[in-house]
Amino acid sequence: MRRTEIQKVAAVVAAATTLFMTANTLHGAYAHSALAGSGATIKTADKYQTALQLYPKFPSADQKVTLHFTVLDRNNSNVNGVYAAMVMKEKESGKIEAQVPYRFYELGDVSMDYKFHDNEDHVATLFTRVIGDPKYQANPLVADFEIPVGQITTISPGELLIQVVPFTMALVGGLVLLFKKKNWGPQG
Amino acid sequence: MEKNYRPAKNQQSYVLLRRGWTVRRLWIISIIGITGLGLDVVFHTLDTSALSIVFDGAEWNGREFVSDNPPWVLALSWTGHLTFLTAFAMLIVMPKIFFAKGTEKIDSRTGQRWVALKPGRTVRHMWLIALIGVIGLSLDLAFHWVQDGGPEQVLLNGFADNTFPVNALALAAHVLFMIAFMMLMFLPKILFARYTTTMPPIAT
Repeated sequence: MRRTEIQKVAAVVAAATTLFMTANTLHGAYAHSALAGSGATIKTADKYQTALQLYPKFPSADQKVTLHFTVLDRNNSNVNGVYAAMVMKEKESGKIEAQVPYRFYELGDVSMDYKFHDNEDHVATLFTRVIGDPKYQANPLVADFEIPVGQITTISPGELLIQVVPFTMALVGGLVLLFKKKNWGPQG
Repeated sequence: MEKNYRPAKNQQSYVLLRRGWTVRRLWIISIIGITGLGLDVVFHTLDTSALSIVFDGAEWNGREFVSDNPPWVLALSWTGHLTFLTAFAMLIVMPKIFFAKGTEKIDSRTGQRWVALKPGRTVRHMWLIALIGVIGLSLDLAFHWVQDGGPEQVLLNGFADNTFPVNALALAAHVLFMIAFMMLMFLPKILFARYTTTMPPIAT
């Protein structure tokens, strides 16, 4: 295969990637993509998506946490006009820790502050009644989200470098040494 | 692959490529791999940060890495990623590392090509890189199994947790990357028809 053929293949791959990214960008311009890349946990039921984002992302006991739920339709647009309620349970025991009653939210964005009492796994359940949808106005849309609490590992850059640098040096150094060794025994 | 060799020290080795293959064609696989890797960097940057291409499972908050995974799972993540990225980097430049330039000879009877390996390079070296890749990939599979509940998350990582276009980007990146990685790892099987220490007489 000639050099020009490789250039053609490279050009086709580059063009396809550019086209893919452009198409995605254009699509994103028309669709609400607040969740894209947000690190939110997304649950899909029927034609709706319910997402949960936590601030801070890794909560621990006695820390105030904001639970931000977003309800989107099939076009990735916020659902206008919902009634939402939330139940917080301990995952293992199933014990209900808190209940937030139904309230009206105009744009499908539901934010609640919450303080966890124990460093245990919890489950937050959001109940959403969608105004104008006969099915989900009568019976709420239910989405469960697991929330690990207090199970945080923190590593400073220094600690990480102490582990990563020797490992990488050993790996790369080992390969270089093996490649410098001229005769490597019977082949195959 | 037919084997016919036991090379002496510093002896140059030759390989007969399978029909239709050339050294230059190998670069196509490398281009696919680089594209996949590039898209993966874009995906991780959009999803959390570019650092998570190595330190997947942890997030950089500006001062330190924070994660809800225990330390051993994080160790599994970065050792796996570093190992297979090292192997992948070497596989991507494999034609440059292994094949002597300008040594390609075409056998007019079969249309297949003979190529000389660079002095000191052997097919066993290729398998060694593949082995490192397999170890890296196994560590990554184990990490995703522990963190996300299934080994398939090596491919589907970022798909369920994101909406379009980030989920499409994640899938495209991982699929391209894995296709190239697998092809490059098994390249000696895919590419070589015969391996010998002296090039037999060929009709040109």
